[in-house]
Amino acid sequence: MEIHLLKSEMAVALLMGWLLLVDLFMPRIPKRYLARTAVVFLLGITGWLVWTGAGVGERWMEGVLVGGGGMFVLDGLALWGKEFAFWAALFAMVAGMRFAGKDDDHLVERVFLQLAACLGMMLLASASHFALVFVALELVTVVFYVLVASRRHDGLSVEAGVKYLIYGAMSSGVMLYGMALVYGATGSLGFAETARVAAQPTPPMLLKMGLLLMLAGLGFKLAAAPFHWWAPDVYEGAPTPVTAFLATLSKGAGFVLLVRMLTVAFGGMKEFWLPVIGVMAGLSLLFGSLGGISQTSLKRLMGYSSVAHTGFMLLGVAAVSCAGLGGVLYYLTGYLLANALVFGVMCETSGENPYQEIREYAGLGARSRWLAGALLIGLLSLSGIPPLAGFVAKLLMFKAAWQGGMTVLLGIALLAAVVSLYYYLNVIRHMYAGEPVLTDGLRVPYGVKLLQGALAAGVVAVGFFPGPWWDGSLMIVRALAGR
Amino acid sequence: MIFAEYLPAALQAGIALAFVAAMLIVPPIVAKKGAPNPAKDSAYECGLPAAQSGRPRFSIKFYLVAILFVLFDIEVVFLYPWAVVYKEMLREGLSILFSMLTFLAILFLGFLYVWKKGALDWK
Repeated sequence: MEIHLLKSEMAVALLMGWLLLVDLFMPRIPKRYLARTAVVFLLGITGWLVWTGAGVGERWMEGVLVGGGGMFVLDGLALWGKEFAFWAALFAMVAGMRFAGKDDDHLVERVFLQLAACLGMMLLASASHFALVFVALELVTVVFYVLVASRRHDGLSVEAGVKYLIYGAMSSGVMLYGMALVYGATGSLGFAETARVAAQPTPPMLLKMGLLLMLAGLGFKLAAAPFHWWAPDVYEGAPTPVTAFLATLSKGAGFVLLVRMLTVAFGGMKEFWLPVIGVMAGLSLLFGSLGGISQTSLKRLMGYSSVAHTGFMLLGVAAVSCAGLGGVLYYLTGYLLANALVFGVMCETSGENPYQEIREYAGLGARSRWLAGALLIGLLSLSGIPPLAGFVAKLLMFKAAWQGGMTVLLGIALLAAVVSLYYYLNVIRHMYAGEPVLTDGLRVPYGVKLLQGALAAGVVAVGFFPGPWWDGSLMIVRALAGR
Repeated sequence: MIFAEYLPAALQAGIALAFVAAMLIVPPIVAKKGAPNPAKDSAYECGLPAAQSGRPRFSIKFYLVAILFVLFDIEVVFLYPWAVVYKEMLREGLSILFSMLTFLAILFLGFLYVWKKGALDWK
């Protein structure tokens, strides 16, 4: 096994072990300091990964680095996925520390679990074998079962945890059954062998069934309709930083896997999976945009919003072109930044507004110009207002769908974009023009202001100068498709 | 036809479904219907009156013990096949030793955590 390819994963695993041991044997060190140290270390690992490309430098561009007999690959998509996992975990950890307050006994355990989910996505981004896919995906999902139910004394959180567990276990089972069928058809769990069988003129029925079941299982992870029913309830019940983590990391993990699986392993069966993805995209767009209209809780609204965004990204997958798939990666970048902004603000107000009622956001514009501004930019980017990242991302999706000749889907997507504009703007209307419930000012520490300022700048920069992000995404996808 | 190989499985599934369906459909038709009474509705306990509810509540601690049992049970499940092939694999290099040592180290870390947090105390 080429251990040196796993450097970044091992660094995160060591960080996890260190965190747990120090917390266990030196209970006098305040947990907040430990959590902050973990954030700093993770930032260090992120920096190292970006700087050196996980220790392999530019070599991933020349070819694929394969380890473990084809189980583990280190290519552009893998590095991209790892970076995404790092940033999602970092935002969630900072939000979690703000959310938890000073007297949280389980802060270190929570950070530990967040790191575990991050590790899961890092492995998933590199997974090129269904066994590793399953283990990595379960690492992410099992962590979320625990995190969602982590406010043990809050009935809503426990309810969300149970719902997520039952639905998640079921969909994992379906996915595993799909993998078993793929194994039955190909005699192997590797992506390379699967690709060989899938490229036959008439791929075996078993392989088609297997892919269908796996797409159903992945649909759950992505909150794609018709497997999205859990999303609003779980998003609402989970503690706010966990919802933020769920919305970003589990979506990123699902899409990185979907892109790799469909292009590398099932690239030869486009005619089969195209309509499936197309239907999932259309339904997600409709459910996500129409379902969000009548919501009164911002967290629930974000649940529907995440379903709608899954729909937009599936549109890019369904376009089966480098432009579409590269657009998905670009979309995820903008989506991560905007969600971190919106959920960051939600964590700041969660003390006075535990259920995140939209009408209680009334007057936020006057109470804290900073928080209102951050929420404004986040929501505008999610709704796709130029020149923010969300606008360019949606535009790329529409363009890919147009070039792919999917006029019906494109129509649905345009409709969904317009409808979802209503519910995002509704929150903004409440924030600036609503009758205030509370009027006292909100104190926001400088660290949070700095982070939100950086995030807002990121959203604007990714939208204003899409060039480098777009070129990078395109290069990653071209390398993947060229194989 | 590739599905011919799955005929036995399909046959078994068919028999199972037919059996369940028969058990659900036939008794209400064949059985003699009578007015319900308390004795009929009570749980059947070999002729003795039921002492308590069929689903007693038990301490949540068992749950933790069960989880820990599964954890360490799985460890043994991994160790057995490892021990069987150990000598042969050792000739190819030390990686078999170190991979198991890593696994045990991670598990030991978990054990320490469980111990220190008092999950093994019955209180």
